[in-house]
Amino acid sequence: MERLAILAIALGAGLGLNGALRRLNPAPVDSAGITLAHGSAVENAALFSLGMRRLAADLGLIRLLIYYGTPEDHHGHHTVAEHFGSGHYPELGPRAMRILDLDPSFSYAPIYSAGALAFNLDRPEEALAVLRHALSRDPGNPEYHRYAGAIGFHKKGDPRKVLELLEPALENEATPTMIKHLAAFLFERSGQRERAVSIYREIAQASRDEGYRRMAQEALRRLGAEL
Amino acid sequence: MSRLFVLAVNAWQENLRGRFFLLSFFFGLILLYVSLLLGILAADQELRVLVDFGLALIEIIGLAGALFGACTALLREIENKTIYLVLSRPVRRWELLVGRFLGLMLSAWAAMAVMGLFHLALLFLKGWSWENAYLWAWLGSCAKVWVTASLGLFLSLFSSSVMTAGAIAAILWTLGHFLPEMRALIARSPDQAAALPMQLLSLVIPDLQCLNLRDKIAASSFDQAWLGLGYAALYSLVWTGLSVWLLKRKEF
Repeated sequence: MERLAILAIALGAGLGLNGALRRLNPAPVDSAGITLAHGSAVENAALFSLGMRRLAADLGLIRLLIYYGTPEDHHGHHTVAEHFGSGHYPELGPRAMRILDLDPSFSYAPIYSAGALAFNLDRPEEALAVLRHALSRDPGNPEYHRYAGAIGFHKKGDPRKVLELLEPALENEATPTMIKHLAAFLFERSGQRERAVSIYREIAQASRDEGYRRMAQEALRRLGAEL
Repeated sequence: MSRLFVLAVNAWQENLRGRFFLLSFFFGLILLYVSLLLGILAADQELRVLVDFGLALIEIIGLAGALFGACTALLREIENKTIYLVLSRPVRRWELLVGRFLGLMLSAWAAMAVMGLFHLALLFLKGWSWENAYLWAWLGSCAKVWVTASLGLFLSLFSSSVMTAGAIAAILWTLGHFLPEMRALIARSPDQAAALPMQLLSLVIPDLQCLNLRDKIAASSFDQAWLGLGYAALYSLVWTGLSVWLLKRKEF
């Protein structure tokens, strides 16, 4: 009987404290829901239950990078026979959207995915779908609008406008190296050598992506510029 | 007060000699190893992954140690009968419990601080620059560990079983992180009467998600963080107070 009384007091105290907290700090309810991939649903649920949403999103990004970094043949099978970038990568968009479901503030994943879809794989519609999903998760993020605009101009074949929109993002440390490399390439192609060299140099010196560092060094050699 | 202090220091020293710092050492080794892999795999996002992985590991190791300590501290003394030696001196039961728990929490937080310093050193080596968000996230983890350990202490005295107390506390830990989802489910439920037990549960289990300040690192919005920390302190005090009450009534 006494234990029941203690339990009742404990429950009452918890109820009072939780009620007060909810009134003072009403936590937002995620009405959009979460989509989990069949291959990582258990892992994500486990990380969720431990309060590690960001870590789940991080692991999703690492998987996405490995997925996009693995050569794929024209039937969508991963292979070592063909070169990087020649595949179809149908999961690139959906994977980025699932990462956003796990951590809506993780803008790197949709920007990386949209950039790869629009500029490397020439599938701007899918890229815009990713950005639309990102905007539904984080409507106030101006970067998504910027990239949507750049992709629109890329679709229309106007690289000057693409660069105009991407240039402010190049100062942002969080911008994927792939986007910086693309901007440098567009500058190079439009005859703005100095600007291209400066971006390639920054990638070669500061990027954490070894592949892009190597490509930037090659580009600098090609342009006859010092590292 | 001095008796309380002596008991807390004694418990702290016992813990320092034990598993806590050994775990910190293993944490360091694991982190070093994983950081090498993550550096290659995460490319541009290496620092974010390192920050997240390190903070998560600090919390899990801190929780494991604190929960185990909370569930076993008094039960072990009761089983070994060493509690008689302490209580035969001019020490009140509440002083024994609060002193032991204080010592346990001090050692858990000290271990988490050591791990945090090691983690920070690694981050600085990788080119990370200091953000206050890190401190908030770490404080949030400490508060979560405190809340769960106080629940574990209460449950160990209530159930008199280390396994049961540990298991229930672990379940409450996971449920505490699912509170926003539980509330969303309740709001969407077509039959509110059927959702009533869940609604009651959602009002009672600790709201650990509000202490999950790691999730707010990107937005750097910590305006309400003090509220969460205050909630954790009150919640822990309530459960520690109930543990005191249980211990007072216990017959040895």
